Amino acid sequence: MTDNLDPTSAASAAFDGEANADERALVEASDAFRDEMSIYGTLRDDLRDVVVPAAARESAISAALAAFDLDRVPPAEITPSSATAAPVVSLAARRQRQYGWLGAAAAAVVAVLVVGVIARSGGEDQKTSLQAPSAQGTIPSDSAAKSAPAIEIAPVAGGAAADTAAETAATTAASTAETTAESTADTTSGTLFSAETAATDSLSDRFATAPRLDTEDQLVAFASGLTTPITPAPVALTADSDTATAASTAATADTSAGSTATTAAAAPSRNDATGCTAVGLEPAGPAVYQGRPVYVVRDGAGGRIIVIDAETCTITTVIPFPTP
Amino acid sequence: MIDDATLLDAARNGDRSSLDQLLRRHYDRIYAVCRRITGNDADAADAAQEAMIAIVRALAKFDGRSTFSTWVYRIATNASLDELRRRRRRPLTGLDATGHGRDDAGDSGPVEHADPDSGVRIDAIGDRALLDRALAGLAEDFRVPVVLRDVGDLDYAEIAAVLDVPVGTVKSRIARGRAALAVALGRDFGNQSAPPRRPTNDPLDANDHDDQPPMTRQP
Repeated sequence: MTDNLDPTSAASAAFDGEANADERALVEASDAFRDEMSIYGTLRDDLRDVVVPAAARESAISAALAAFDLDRVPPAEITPSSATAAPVVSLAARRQRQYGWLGAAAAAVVAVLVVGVIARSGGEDQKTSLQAPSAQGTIPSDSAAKSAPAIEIAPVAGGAAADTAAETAATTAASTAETTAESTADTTSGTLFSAETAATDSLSDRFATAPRLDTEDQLVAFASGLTTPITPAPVALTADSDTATAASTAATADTSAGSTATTAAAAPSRNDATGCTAVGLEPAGPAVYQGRPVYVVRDGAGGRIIVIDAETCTITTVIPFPTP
Repeated sequence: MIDDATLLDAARNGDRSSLDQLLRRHYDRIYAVCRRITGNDADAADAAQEAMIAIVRALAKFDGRSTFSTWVYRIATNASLDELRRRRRRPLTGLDATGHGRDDAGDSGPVEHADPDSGVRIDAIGDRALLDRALAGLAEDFRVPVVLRDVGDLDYAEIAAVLDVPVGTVKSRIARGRAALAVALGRDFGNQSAPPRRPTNDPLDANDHDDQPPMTRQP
């Protein structure tokens, strides 16, 4: 019977404590096998010697806990509109759009210039809101492409870039619509928000004057000062607002907690003011929390405060919001 | 220390801190499994995060027939294999198929060290790079059971359950995988010949048959 033993399997199995009697006898009879087991021991130590990045650990645990929190929101607290819109953008989708931010950034420039041109020529229409393309989700590519050339973009973008601006705008509008569908469909895995930076200013600029918060108490106090629990309306750009304040400007109507907090009707798939994708929970209230640029969201329906890392667009903190 | 089952019950009943504790307890090992299967930090972080989210979402489905750790490593293994499949579909840029830069420490020639300890550190980096390359050269069918055994600490029956193969196959693959790794790392055996190798350019060209060589390329 010993003749049928595979010597390699015998040493390996003996090392794992999974050898049968014959294999153990074979291994114990040979110094070479014991040496081999010693090599396996070193190999196991080497394989286990993995440096775990602390940032990756915290990010993964935060994402998992956020998924836990979202899954535990009682159905009664979710309106039909927000239930269908709650997105999870998968890592795969995020990767596919890894380089899409260039186009998105160019489109954001175009959108800002459109607002500027209209503001200058609109007279009394100066305060009229323009819905961002993402809010409608079904804007034909043609319309976006046609509107772009009318903008005085050449001096800004210059040369070939100006030639491609219209195409970029159309692409962005289409990709935004795609994002909505994709996000709604893929609810099984991934990061809660995608890190597509569409804003024209850099994060450091945007957060230069944001309040510095270090404790949960400060966070609660800051969240209490937000004008609306959740941005209920589609992202809108007004003539006298910049992209950084667009979301809060759009959410002006009703600030009574609970009544409009979870409506999120026709909510966009991406908040271009923040660059984060989040249907139903519009990031707002930029701040620097524990040294990180974040968006603070007051979830009136869930009775909680959600902190979203502005760079990664992932939820980093969720704490209860004290009921007054 | 509170055991996994107690934390799991509490988490299922909505106790967030118990879930946090449970996830933290297992994360490092999950990451290590993902790191050794995927072969690089970025893919490992992605796979580990996918696994953590999947674990949370499937908590209610865990039926307790296996241990929690077995179940968790099964999820981590699947997340890692999914990550490998995604990687195969991604275009390569400045990295080779294993995710390593082309200028690996293992390829560098002799250098002069101003820092007396730098040689030790470089050796350690070189050893890690060599191990990564050896693992990347090991076909998936051999690499995964070795990782689940040596990193995940699962026994043969648990690995068989995770991979849905017979225990005898697990035993054979682990043995042959280890032997191939040891030879690739220059840790010579006195009692056996080196396992056969089949040089190719694709380290992910896994084979499904135990009579095939475990090494898919020279490390």
